[in-house]
Amino acid sequence: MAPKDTRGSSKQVINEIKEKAKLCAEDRKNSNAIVDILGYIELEDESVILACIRGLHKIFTRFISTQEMYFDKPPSEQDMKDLKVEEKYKVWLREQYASTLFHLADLLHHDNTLIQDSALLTMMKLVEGEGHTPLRKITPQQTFPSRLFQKIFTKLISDTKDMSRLWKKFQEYTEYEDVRFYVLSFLHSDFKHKKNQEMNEIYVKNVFSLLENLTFTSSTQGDQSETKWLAKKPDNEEALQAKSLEEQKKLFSTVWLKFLRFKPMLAENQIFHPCLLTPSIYKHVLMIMHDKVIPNLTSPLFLADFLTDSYNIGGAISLLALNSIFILINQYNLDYPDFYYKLYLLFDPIIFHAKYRARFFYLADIFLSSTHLPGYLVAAFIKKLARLCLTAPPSGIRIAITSILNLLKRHPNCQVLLGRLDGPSEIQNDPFILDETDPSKCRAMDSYLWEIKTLQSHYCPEVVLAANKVNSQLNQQEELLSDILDISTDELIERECKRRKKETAINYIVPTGLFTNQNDQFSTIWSGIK
Amino acid sequence: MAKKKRNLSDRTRGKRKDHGKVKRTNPFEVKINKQKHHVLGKKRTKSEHGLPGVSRSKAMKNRTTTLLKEYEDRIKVNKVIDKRIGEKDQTISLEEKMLKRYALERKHEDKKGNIFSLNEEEDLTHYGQSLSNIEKFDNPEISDDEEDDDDLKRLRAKIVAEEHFGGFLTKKSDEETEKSFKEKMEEVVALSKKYKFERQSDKNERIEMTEQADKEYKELLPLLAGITKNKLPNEKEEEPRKKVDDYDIAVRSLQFEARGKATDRLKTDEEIAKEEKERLEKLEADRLRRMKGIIDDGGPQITHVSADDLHDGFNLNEDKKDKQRAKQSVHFKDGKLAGGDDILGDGEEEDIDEDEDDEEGSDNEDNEDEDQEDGEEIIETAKKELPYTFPAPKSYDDWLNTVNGLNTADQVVVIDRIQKLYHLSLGPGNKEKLETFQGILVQYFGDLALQDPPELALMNKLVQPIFNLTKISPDKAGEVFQQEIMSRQEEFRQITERKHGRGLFLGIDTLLMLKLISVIFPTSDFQHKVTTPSLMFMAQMLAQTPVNNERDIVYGLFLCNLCLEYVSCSKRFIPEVISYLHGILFLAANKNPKKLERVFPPFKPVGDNINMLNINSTDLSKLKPGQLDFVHILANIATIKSLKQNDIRLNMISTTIELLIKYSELYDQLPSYSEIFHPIVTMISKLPSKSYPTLLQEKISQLESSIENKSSKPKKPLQVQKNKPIPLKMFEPQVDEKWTGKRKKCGGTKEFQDTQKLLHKHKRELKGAVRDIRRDSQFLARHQLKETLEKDAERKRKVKALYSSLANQEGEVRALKKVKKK
Repeated sequence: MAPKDTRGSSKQVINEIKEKAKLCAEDRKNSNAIVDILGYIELEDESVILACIRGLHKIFTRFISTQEMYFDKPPSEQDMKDLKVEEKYKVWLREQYASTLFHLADLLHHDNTLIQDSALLTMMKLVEGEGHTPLRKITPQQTFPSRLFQKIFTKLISDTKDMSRLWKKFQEYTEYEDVRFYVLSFLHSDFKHKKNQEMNEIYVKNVFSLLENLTFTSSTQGDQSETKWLAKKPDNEEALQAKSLEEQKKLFSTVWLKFLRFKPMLAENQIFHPCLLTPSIYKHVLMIMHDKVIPNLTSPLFLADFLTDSYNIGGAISLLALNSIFILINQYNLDYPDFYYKLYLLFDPIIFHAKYRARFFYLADIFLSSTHLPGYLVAAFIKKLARLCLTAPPSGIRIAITSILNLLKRHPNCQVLLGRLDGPSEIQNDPFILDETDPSKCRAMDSYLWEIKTLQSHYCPEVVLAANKVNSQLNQQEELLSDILDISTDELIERECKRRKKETAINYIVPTGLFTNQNDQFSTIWSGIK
Repeated sequence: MAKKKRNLSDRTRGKRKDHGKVKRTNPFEVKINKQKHHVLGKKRTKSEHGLPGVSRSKAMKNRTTTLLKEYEDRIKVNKVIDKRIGEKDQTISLEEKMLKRYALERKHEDKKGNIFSLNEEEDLTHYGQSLSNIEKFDNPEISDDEEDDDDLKRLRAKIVAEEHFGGFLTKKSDEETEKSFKEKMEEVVALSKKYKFERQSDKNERIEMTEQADKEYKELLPLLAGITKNKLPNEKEEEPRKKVDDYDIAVRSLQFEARGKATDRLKTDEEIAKEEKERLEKLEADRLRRMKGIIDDGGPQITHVSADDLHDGFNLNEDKKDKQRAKQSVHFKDGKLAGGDDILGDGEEEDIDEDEDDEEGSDNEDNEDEDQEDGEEIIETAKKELPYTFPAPKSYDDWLNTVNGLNTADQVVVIDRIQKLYHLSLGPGNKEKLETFQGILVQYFGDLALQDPPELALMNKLVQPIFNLTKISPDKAGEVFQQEIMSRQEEFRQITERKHGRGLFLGIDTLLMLKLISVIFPTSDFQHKVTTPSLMFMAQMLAQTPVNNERDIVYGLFLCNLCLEYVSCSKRFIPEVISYLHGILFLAANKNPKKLERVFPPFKPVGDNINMLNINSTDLSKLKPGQLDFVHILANIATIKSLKQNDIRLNMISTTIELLIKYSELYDQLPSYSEIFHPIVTMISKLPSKSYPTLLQEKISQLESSIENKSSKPKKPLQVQKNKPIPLKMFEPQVDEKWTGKRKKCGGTKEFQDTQKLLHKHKRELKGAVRDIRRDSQFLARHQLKETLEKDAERKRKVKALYSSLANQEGEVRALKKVKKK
């Protein structure tokens, strides 16, 4: 073993490692250097560790490609003694290789991100190397070094350390068919064998980041010939079939469904799993659901239960579940009779302050874009939106007014809200019932849009200009909602500042003090003003 | 650069240009195109009258010299080559040309073989005469008579003209022809002698006359002595003038002073009041117009800014007249001040002069340093007295150095003096200086608010100077204020981002800055560069900042009050304020633990702080609700703990109620009044008002009843707005205000118009070129026809001659035959 007390400056050591790795890779005579490098890898110094990883990478990729460690059949314990020198060397090299892998796998949990990255890179390179030039005789179906890969995998879904960052790095490898397949199958078996007690939040988080970063490349949907394989592509038709896209999707579906069982159950249900899905991961799941999960499932309708439950929870989670539910209804024929009633319930003063406001209004616009919706329903939505405007921030009001105008244009029968010919001359109270949950009973059709009229004296000029459009006859052209969805109040203020005005008007009454002008509103309320 | 090849036609054209003569036109050659209608103001165009004959003949002549030459030379092979040096090169001057030619000539001569004649020097000549001869000065023709008279010159000129070169060609009388040369010369000599004599006699006569005049004057002198006694030469007179006393000067000056100028009649008080009223009315109308957001690019806005220029001689109109007047007034003031003891003492007067010099002089900074030094000296001599001049502060640090250690009153004086020193009318660079000064003062204002305790007194005093400076250049100042607000908004935004959408109330300086803006700028404008962002920022703060302690409540209440002031004229609706006040009532209300109240962000229905203002003790009714001291609370002087006392918390509730009363009155006319105030009413009913003091209870019931009253008003249904019918087309003549005589080509972009112009030009040029080519070919055709006709005629003539000669021969032969026959 290398002397541990070699305490040269780290630079010296690094140079030494480099030198040794180079020599070792060039000539097998220098193989003893591996032992030295493996000694160094246990040091604390991070740069030394990095150098070691690089050195080992160099050595073993070379040895694998030159088939230095190749055995037709691994020697058993018995015939260990009567081996040729050549074979002894191979056995020794194998041992070194195993300890290298052990160290590298440990380094995946290192605190330094750089070390993690390079360890992952090295191991995946070794996987690739073994995939092309295996270490032992293999069947044509088994080109992929699954044993080596499993070592990486178990480290990556550890239940002690958050590996989500490394999973992002791993994303590039999931383009390979075999990697994807093995990831999914390992995860599947992991779910099977793992006991409930062993699953904690970190484990769930790691699994989620795995699932999140799994990419089904678009090319895989086309012909099979162009698929990418990390290891040698199996030429056997059966082996191909076993790892085909359909199989992967099947695995993917089962894995997802199992994963979703971690979600918090409603109180009356029997608690099957401990609630491991933290709210933040839950939201993330819902956010990626529509474009990463649903298209790759064998039958997305399996998600219906999960989504409807989420939709019923309320708040932000409902908002997020909306998108996926819409996709299920739209593309997969999900029958959801109460959809619009639920949507109506989601309209709440909070949505104007919610983080996912833009997303919600975008979707709501899509849901209400159908021209076959009954008038009373649309009117209820319009009236509710208008009422919410009375407590909304200006950026929200901009969106709401535009949506209202678009709805009025889409459904001309709702334009009675802006005035009708046979209406009464005076109305005592607004007939609209705000707290009614059923849009068919809220009497929106009998009401008028006084709220928009109120907003015509809003303090924000842009809101006023938008509200003033009601004054003239509405044109047919709908306004694009996407232009204003992302405008925040900050941006509105900035825009107000940048507006070019010819000149700045100033007051004509000369002030004498801060609180002494004519229409001062302070002196009657506050003391301490001299 | 390659030389441009000059061809025949170019030369002809060039020649023509050389004739700068004005040709008199023959009236019979002029052709006038009669116009059908005479249009007033229309320029006379070229086409109105022309000289067809003249121009045609000119064109013919041009063509004969150019085109015809070319045509005739078309088959010529040999050409004359002009080898004269520089003959066609116009860049070489005549002298150089000659020099070159001479040099070449010399070269040729040298080649010929003169090299062997070593002794023979070349003979220099001048006008053909050998210079060696001239140098002998045999006959120097220099006139000794220095008084070379004009007459003599004329005489000589005449002789030269008549006798010398070509003079003989002019016509002469018979007598003259008879005189011989000698006689003539004699005559010349005689004439010149005669002139000489006349001159001599003239001179003598003049001298004689002067002498006589002198003599007579001396005789006259004693007689004149009595009259001219007082008007002796100046030297003697100056002394007694000095003795004239002040009284006389005063009298004289009064005499010469313009008596009674025609002035405007003094206005009566009523008239002044009326004018003032009209002015204010106009300004108010302006304000209302801006409030509605009607944008008008006309003049009234400009007058709006300048119209209230009453009080201290600021004139925004940089009219020369006004400027001068202002300058005069300042001078006048200085004159008065020289003796008196005003705030502005001698020092200032001098320095004003000095400043004026500065502006005229070259180096500004040096003088400013001088100013500073002066100021320092004065401080040293009269330590307690303030200096009268200050350099215009260039940066905020400059300013802090200036006012360091001064008390409030002194600082106000300093500001006042700087304003006067760098008055607009006193120099060209003063506007910029005052603009920077304004920015500095605004920053200073903000910093004063952050003092502990805030110097409200000084800040109050700063308001007017800031206003005055703002008036000088409203746009620049507006940008300064905008910057102040936007930097705070940026700060708030960053806090919000860091805290995931939850903000934090900024310091008291933000509040006071917003208040200052409301004082200086019109808050009622529909869109205003400063006030609109400020209002939006306030609303944003109210909507995004959660209430964590009592101070936050007070801050929010103050913001609500600021919002009230911003919209008190325009009555604009601010949802955030109502939500906020609703939230504060919620903090004070009794809650049902089983049912969550509906509150609006930033308030939350659950949390630790939801009972912050819920006071429910028995001794509450004895307390008297008063006013909150916002400086005390917001400037972190009062501890949070002290704010938890019941009376202060009660004050907060009372303030909230008062603000709500004001808002409920303000939003009286909004169509959704009842919907807006409905949550407030429900929240009021949940207040533990029974334990409140009676004064507060009264207020609450007043608010309740007023809201109830107003919301019980019936609503008017909306009416469908009908589009205005499109008016019929009117066939009225389009009247241009300014008629330039040209058809206006309007419409299209500038590029389009330019291309149109170019196309038009191209078309005209093309037409002209085609016409020229056509005329050329016509000319040639004519010429060719002439040639052929001539050729034919010649041939005919020749044939005829041949025939005739043949006939003659025949005749002769026949005659001979006859003779033979006979």
